[in-house]
Amino acid sequence: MIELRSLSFGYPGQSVPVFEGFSWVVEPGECWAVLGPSGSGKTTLLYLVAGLRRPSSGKVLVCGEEAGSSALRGKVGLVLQDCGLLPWATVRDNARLGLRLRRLPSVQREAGYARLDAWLRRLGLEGLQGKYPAQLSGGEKQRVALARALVLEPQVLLLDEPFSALDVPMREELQRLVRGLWQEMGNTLVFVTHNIEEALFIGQKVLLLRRPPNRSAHVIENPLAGASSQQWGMREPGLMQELRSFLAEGRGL
Amino acid sequence: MKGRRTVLGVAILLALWALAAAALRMPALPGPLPVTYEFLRGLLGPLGRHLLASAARVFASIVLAGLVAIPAGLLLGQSRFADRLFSPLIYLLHPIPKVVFLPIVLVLLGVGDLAKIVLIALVLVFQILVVVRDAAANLPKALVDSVRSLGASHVALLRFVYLPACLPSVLTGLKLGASTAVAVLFFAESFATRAGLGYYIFVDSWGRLAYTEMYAGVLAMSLLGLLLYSLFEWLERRLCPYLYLH
Repeated sequence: MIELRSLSFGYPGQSVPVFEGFSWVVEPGECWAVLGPSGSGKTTLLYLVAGLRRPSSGKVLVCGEEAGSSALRGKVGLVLQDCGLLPWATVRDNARLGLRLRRLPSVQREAGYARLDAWLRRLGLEGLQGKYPAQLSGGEKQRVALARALVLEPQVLLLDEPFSALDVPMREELQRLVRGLWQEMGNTLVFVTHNIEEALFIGQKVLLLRRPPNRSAHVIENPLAGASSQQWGMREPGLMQELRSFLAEGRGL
Repeated sequence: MKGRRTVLGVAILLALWALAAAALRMPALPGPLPVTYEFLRGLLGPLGRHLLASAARVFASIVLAGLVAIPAGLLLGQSRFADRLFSPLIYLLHPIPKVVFLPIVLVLLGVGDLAKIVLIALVLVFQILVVVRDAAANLPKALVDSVRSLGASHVALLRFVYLPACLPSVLTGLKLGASTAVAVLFFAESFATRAGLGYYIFVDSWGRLAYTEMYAGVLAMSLLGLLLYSLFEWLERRLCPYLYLH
C-alpha cells in the first residue's frame, strides 16, 4: 500500500538529510504508529507519503502510484496537528471542502454530502455545522478534520500528532474512536506521535525514527495494540522502558 | 453603544461649529443650519450631480486598484522570486505621495476622467498590494498543505485559501485608503473639469465666495468619505463574519 524505496530527503540549508536511503513498506489495511523525538522526521515522512514533499532521490509509492500523482487524489487523507481548518469557513464548509475540490458530477456530490451528514452525526458534530473553528474546542476541531478526511473514503489515512494538544480524557476518547474507525473501515492507517502510550495503543506496528539521518526502518511488532497501558505493563514489562530509552537516546540524552 | 457614541460625537461637533459661527459672525463661517439646508436643497440640484460624479470616480478607482493590487499582492505573497524581484520597487514607490505623479498622469492620459481615476487608484494600489502580499506570505504553511492534501489545484488554493485569507486585509486597506482617496479626489477635481465635488467646492463656490454652498460641498465630501468607510466596514462584517465572533 505504501512503499518507500531508498528514499532520501533533506531540507534546503540543512547539512544533515532527514532520510538517506530509507526504505519502509506498509501493507494494505495495516495500522502503524510512527514514534520518534521532535525533529526526527515524523511529520516529514507523512508529508512525503501525502505527496506534499518530493524526495531528492528514491521513490514513494502509494497504491502503486507515485505519491502526489493525480491518480491518488482523494485516496490519501491527511489530518494535521493543528487540524488545518479554514478559519473563515463553517464546520460544514470545512468538512465538505474535499468533496467540492473533487468536482464530482452532481449525483455523486449529493451522495458525498449525504455521507458527510452521516459522518458529522457519528462524530457528534451535527449541531455545530454553522459554527466557525474559533468557536470549537480542540477535540471538536479534530473531529471536523477527521470528518473532512473520512468523507473522501481514503484508502490511506495519515494522522500527524492529531491529539497532542488535547487533554488526556479527550485524547483517549479520540484514540479509541480512530482505532475503532480503522477496525471498521479496514483502510491503511499511519499515526504519527511522540507519545509512547498513544503509539502502543494505536499501532499494530510501530516505526521508530531517530535523530536524522534515518537510514533504516526500526520496527516493533505490537500485538497488544488497543490494550490498556496496565495490560502492557503486565505482558510486556520491558517494552515501555525500551521505548523510553529509545526516545531519550533520540533526543541525545 | 457605538451608535450612541457616534451621535454624541456629531452633536458635540455641531455644537462647537454653531458656537464658533455665532461668536465670529463672519460670512466665511456660516452656521450648521444654513449649511445643512443648502446641502439638502443642493442634493436635488447641482450639488447632487457633482456628488454623483465624484462617487463614480472614486468607485471606479477602487475597482481599478483592486483589479491590479489583489492579483499582484497574491503573486508576490506566494512567489519568493516575484517578491524578491519587485519588492525593492514597491519599497521605493510606496512612501512617495502619489499626487506628485499628477503631471505625469495628465501628460500620459490627458485631462479627462481616466487621469483622475488612475491617480486615485495609484494611492489605493500600494495600500492594498502591501497588505495582501503580507497576508498571503504569512498564511500558515500547514493550512495550505492541509488543503493541498485534499487534492487542491493552484486555482482551487487561490479560491478557497488565499483569496478568503486576504479579504480582511483588502478591506482594511480600503478602509485606511478611503480618506486618502477622497483627499486625492478633491485635488484631482479642482482643475480641468466642470464636474465633481472638488470643482464645486474649490472652483465654483469658493470662486464666487458662495460660502454656504462651499460648506455644503465640504459636508458632501466628508459624507462621501464616511460612506466609503462605512461601506467597507459593512462588507467586512458581511463577508468575514468569523472576525466578529464573541
